[in-house]
Amino acid sequence: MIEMTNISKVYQMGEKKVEALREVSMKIEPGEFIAIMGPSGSGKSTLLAIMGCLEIPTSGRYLFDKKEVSNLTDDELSLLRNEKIGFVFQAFHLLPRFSALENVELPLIYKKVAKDEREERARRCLEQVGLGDRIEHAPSELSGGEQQRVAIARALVNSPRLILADEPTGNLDSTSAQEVMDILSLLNQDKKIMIAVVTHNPLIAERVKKVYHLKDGQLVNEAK
Amino acid sequence: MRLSDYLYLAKKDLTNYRLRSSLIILCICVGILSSTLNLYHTSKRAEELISSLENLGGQMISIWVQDKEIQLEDLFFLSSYFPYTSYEVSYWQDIRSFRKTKISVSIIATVPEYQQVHSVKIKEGRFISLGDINQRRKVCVVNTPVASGLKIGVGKKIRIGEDELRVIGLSKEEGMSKRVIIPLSISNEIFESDSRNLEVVILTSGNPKAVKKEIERMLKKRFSDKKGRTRQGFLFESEGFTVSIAEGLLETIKNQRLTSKMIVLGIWVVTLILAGGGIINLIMLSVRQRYKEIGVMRAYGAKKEEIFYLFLLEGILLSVYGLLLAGAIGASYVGLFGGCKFLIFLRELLWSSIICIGIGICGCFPARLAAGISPSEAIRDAN
Ligand SMILES: Nc1ncnc2c1ncn2[C@@H]1O[C@H](COP(=O)(O)OP(=O)(O)O)[C@@H](O)[C@H]1O
Ligand SMILES: [Mg+2]
Repeated sequence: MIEMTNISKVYQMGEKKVEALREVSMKIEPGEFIAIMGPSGSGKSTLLAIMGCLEIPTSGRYLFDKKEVSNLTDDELSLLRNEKIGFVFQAFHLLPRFSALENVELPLIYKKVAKDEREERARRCLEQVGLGDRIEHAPSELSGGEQQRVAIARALVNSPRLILADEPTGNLDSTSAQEVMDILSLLNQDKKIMIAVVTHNPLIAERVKKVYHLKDGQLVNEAK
Repeated sequence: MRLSDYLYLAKKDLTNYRLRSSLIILCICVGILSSTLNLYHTSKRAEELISSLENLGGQMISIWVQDKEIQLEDLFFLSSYFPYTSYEVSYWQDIRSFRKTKISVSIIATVPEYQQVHSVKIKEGRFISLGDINQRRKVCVVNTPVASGLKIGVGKKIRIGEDELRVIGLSKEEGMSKRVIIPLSISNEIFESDSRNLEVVILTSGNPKAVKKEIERMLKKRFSDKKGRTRQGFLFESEGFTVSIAEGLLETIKNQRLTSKMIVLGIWVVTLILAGGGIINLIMLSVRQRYKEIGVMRAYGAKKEEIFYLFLLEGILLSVYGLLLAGAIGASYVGLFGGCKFLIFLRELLWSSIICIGIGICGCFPARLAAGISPSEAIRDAN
């Protein structure tokens, strides 16, 4: 379970201060699927970065599974991300020199899982996203939709509690976008993984139970 | 992260920059190779010289006879104490070949032991023998500078004043000094003036300082009746002798080692600048191009230190490849042309691999840069 209370994030840009988030409070219950919407520069990615423990909020409380995140060391944060959080990015961010299988194995490397077990688990995840026949392909040999599915398999491989997706369909055509959203919904339903998706697409937002709207770093209203 | 996974990830990245990586490996290889072979050659030479010295006994102690009344014959008793004792009368004089070429040489009249004491290598013919001494044969051994100066060889004759001497041997010697060696027994006939230099050189395996003391004691005892000509300086007590520990050969070896070390130091510096700079450049480039990737790795749980070690390892891998290549090339060279002293080679290779440590340190800078990349880079893309 995720609980954010009065989260603010201020970036220092030389003399100037940028308030990317102001007093944001929200809660994601186990098994919940939420969407975050808002204009460009409204702080969506910042919110996701804080949720995903990529950054520490300037002020406010963030409890991840009842643990206060800002008290953790950098190594503990790495461990937390590794074990409990999966990320999906708009630009896929697959490692170009690695095959699909090797890309999915990556989080397991940091968990010191042995090679054989790593391959086995990565293969199973790729099969789950429908890419069982593409495991040896390099990212450049895959379509955008396929690459994003590899990225989802990578997010999935460590059985996370939370998957964060920053505009996962932003670079995809509508069919591929549908597929990606289908897979995410399925994961949410089958495995009760919490999912937070940043999106501009109202069709996608319609599929989820809860939509948060951000404007100038503030939560505007909680629709639905 | 497991060590095998570090290697796996680092290798993957290096193959991505194949050309640059190969150039750096080559640069490291050349640096290590030239340093190793340089050290190898001087060490091998030094070892050979030292072992030839040790085989014969070790340190040279020379006795200069300053007293005009003392003859070399008065010192022959030393041979019964020291088997490797060379008696030498030396003298500067012009010599001629039959073609009337004239050169100025130092002539040394001596005994067969001279060869062992000074480790003279004979290139052709033979050295002065006991027979030559006993029969007072008019023969001589010349060194390479003399032979080439007079354009003569073994079997030819040279003229010293009115005397004709047959060349029986050609010695291989370092340096430029022209030297003609003749039997001690004919020195009185050959030498014209008596401004000559008498010297006894003893090769000893004992502690040189103790042996020197011992010799001084013997000389004092023997010549105690000849007193009264005390001069300041080198003269030992009142007798006309100077006993000194000759540093010649060992000093040369030390000097050679020093020059070799200076050269090697230069090679190290150049290699470090080239290869170290190359590695910093390569890894820097790789870090810049992979800002996002490193962010993604961090997002997926890579710790700061894991990123640091990964990039450090890339630099280390390059040096290790360079070292292995240098080892392989160097070993085959040593095996084929270099005299097969593999132990010395290995030792010098080990020394030269110090370069790798320096290069590893160079790799720390870009590795630190990489480790400092924030995990949120992953999510901050240019959309
Ligand atoms: N590292 C940073 N340094 C300074 N300002 C930043 C940084 N990251 C984001 N910002 C600023 O914070 C605001 C919110 O950014 P972001 O969360 O990326 O918005 P969104 O994802 O909704 O487009 C923007 O004004 C952006 O310029
Ligand atoms: Mg964004």
